[in-house]
Amino acid sequence: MYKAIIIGGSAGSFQVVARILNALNSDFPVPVLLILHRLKHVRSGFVEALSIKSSIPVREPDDKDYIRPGFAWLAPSNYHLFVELGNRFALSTEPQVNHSRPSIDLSFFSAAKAYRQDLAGIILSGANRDGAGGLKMVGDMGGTTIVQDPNECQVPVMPLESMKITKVQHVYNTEQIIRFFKKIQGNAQI
Amino acid sequence: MAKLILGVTDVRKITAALAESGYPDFSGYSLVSLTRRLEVAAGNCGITDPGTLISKISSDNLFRGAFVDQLLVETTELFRDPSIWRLLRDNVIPEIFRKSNKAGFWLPGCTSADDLVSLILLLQDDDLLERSSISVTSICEERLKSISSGRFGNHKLKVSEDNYKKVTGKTSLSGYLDNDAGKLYWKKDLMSLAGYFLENSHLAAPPEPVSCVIFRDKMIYFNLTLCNRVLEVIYSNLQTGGYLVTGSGETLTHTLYGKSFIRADQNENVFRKIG
Repeated sequence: MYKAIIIGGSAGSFQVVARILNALNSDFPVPVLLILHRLKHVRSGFVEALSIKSSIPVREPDDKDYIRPGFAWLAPSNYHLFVELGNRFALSTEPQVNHSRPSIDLSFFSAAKAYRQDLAGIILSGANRDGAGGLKMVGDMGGTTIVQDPNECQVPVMPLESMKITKVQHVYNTEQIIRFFKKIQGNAQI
Repeated sequence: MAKLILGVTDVRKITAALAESGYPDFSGYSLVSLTRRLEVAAGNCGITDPGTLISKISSDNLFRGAFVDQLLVETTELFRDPSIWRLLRDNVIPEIFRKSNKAGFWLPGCTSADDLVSLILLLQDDDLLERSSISVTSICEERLKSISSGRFGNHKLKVSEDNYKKVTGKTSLSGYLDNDAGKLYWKKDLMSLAGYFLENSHLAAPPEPVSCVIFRDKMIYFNLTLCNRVLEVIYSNLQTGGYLVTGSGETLTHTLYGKSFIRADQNENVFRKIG
């Protein structure tokens, strides 16, 4: 059983994330961390847009909030999002990494260290290399590595960059990613 | 070059070495953020193993000061989160001066001049500088010198001017800046409007109780124990009815002081001290 699933995405990922969240049962048993590149000065609107589609509540965590299952946790704009010991979120205003804040790499690094083999990392469509190093760390720590099939991506750079430096375990299209989530749901009910 | 990867034990040893060298205790910092800052700072210094780092911290004064300076995360820009500065300008500051002819502002744990200059520009626009006293405190002597010198990162100029426009409608900050061989500095007369004090521990209190504490994006680097200690000092140095301004991702919910303040606004993290 995973302790968390972390998803990184940028250009072209919104619809995929929306479809995944829409397909979940309302009692999905694992926290879903969403690290999506977004406009830094637009603090509202994103949660609301995802919430319309999602079957589970979507929240932007405040610093030190507990990472609870049953929610999709969206990294707030203009902050990096870390997983802190004690299963809490930590925010940071460190400089941008890969021109991004939130940086997918930084979130994946900290989640990989915290959850190790109990983490699944998923890289979706996007236009830069942010997330590639992070997904490698997930794999190095024993977690499960997944990328969206580049042939399906609106912008395939992020999955392709991930595949360059990591022997990714699963290359899935959106339907297969949804089935991965469903399997977790099913296992939890057994 | 191999990148330094630190474990929890390494971090504990490094913070102990810093504390033994007379620096404030970093053991109350958020472990995940501190670990990353230590790894980045060590990488910048070309250090790839914890033993060398601890040895340098223990034996090299110059290195230690510069290293601690790198552990502090700067505010990212002037007027970060423009909406909160508009709230300060339109509601909070007028309310403070409605109650009192003079007002004290305190910026604890300061890591850059960004919030300080943002505040000064707002007060200046409303002709309130002469009625204001501003205290800036910082944990790090090198950082305090840098702040009081008015050093401003050139890379922040564009985003800061964008924010400045969103808050004030004005477009250029150039009238407030001097260019010294390509480096930007806030004008000396601007920086001389504040008093600068070194924090020997968390935190150094201002000379007298203040009306407003601007403490944005600092508690995100602390663990809960340190947050509570810091909030105790802030609470006891803030006038009843005074305002505490935190970062947009920081609330008081998880601290012991959640019931000592009420929200002054539904959307922005501005809190008011209750008696």
